[in-house]
Amino acid sequence: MLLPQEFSSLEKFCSRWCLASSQERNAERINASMSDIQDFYDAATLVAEDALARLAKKKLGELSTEDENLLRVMLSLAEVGPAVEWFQQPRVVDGCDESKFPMVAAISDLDAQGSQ
Amino acid sequence: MSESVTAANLTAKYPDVNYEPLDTDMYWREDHYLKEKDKIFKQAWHCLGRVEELPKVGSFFLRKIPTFNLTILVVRSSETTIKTFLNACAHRGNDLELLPCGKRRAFTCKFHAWQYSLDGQLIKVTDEEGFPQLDKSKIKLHEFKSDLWEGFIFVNLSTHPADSLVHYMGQQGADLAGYPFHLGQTKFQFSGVIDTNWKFLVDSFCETYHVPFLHRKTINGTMAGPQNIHGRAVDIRLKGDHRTTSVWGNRQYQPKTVQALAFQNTPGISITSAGDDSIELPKGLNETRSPNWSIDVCVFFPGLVCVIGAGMYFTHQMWPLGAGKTQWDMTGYLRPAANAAERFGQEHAIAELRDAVLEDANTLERMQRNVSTGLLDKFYFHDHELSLRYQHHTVKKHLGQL
Repeated sequence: MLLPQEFSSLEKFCSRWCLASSQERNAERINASMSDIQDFYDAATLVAEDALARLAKKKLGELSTEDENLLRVMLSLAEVGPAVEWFQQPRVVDGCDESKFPMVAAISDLDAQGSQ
Repeated sequence: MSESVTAANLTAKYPDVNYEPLDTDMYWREDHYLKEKDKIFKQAWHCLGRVEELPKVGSFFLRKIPTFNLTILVVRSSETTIKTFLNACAHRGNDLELLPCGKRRAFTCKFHAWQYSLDGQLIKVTDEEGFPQLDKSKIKLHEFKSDLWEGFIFVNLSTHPADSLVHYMGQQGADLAGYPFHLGQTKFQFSGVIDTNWKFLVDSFCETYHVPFLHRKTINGTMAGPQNIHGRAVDIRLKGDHRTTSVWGNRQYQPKTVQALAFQNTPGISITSAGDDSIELPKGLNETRSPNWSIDVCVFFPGLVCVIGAGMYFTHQMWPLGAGKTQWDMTGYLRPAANAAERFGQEHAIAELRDAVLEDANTLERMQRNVSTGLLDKFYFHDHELSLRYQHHTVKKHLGQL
């Protein structure tokens, strides 16, 4: 099991949507079909409130492997959100090509933030 | 129009500015660009980063200035001093520091191992006997004038800057002082070279007249929408060479499913949820104290655009590379995530910001291609495109063309 047990409904999406950086998540989104994005969005939004309630009790830098995977799947949900809720297609409608304005400094997915 | 929407009478408040159509030469002519480079960008103060990026004595980072094709070494040389040097060894001009950031006790050139102290003084020459007439004490790295504003590190490339930094930041800087910029410790950045004039890039963030159309699927719901169908701004204020556009915010907006999850976990950090009331704002943010406010777009002439909301801020830095080419750096500063769910809210805020600016970016190369034909001799600015009109005015003023 890659995820905490109560989120087993998302196990089948892990191979595709449990990714290691913001850049990888955006690349996966813009290369995916809309039906694949919609399937993931529908399944993930069903449990997202519970998943985020669980993650709200956990500190970055101290996550178990299962919670790390759960967070990364949720970060993919954040990435595909605008594809479903704004564009109804994977990419920005009539947008500049993503490769012309790439992310050059990303926030770590898992590390603690700030001078703690 | 709803009563909550600002009337189209902002330009009339400023007698120096009128409603005339404006000539377009400055957006495409190379000879005009070369004058801007010399008389505007060479004289201006440029933002290099934040003091939090230099936590300890010896901390440094490199910052490229693409317009002038040079790299600046920014160093904390003492507890209270930050210095800016040309990243070049005085011996024969090789790059001195090669790492993008780090911490050192001294800087040693990899070419012949000449060594410099943190304050730029040459302290060690390899085989010094071979330089019988060299006086080390008289050799330093080339140092630029630098200063701090609200924790931002600024540099001026001119040998004798016309203005001190505090004078340059002026009333707009004074009115923004006190905003908790230091809380934005979680940084991200996008960067790219766009085939467009630097002024078109600045303009695209300074008017919301385009929001109901270009952004009809995205930020229209929060920054315009049914109560503000023409995308009017809340207010636009001109302050010296600088100006602020206060952007309207729809407090009745009903977020979509993933948006709602993000807003619940991290209120006020997204461009679509920015107008929350979590902090006391300095005078210069939402200066009219409108209840229908989302963010302010504060331009420090020429190329620094600070987009500031109650819970987040980001900057656009425009570095012209020619009349029709600009490096665009967008740097976001978020408050550190206190838990893993807040990391989700950050990711969503960044995804929405990126997607919205990708919509803006597609207009830029099209406008440049068309204006560069020389066949569009005038542009027409709406009352709420006052910030754009004023940029045109300010460029002309600096070039002595008014």
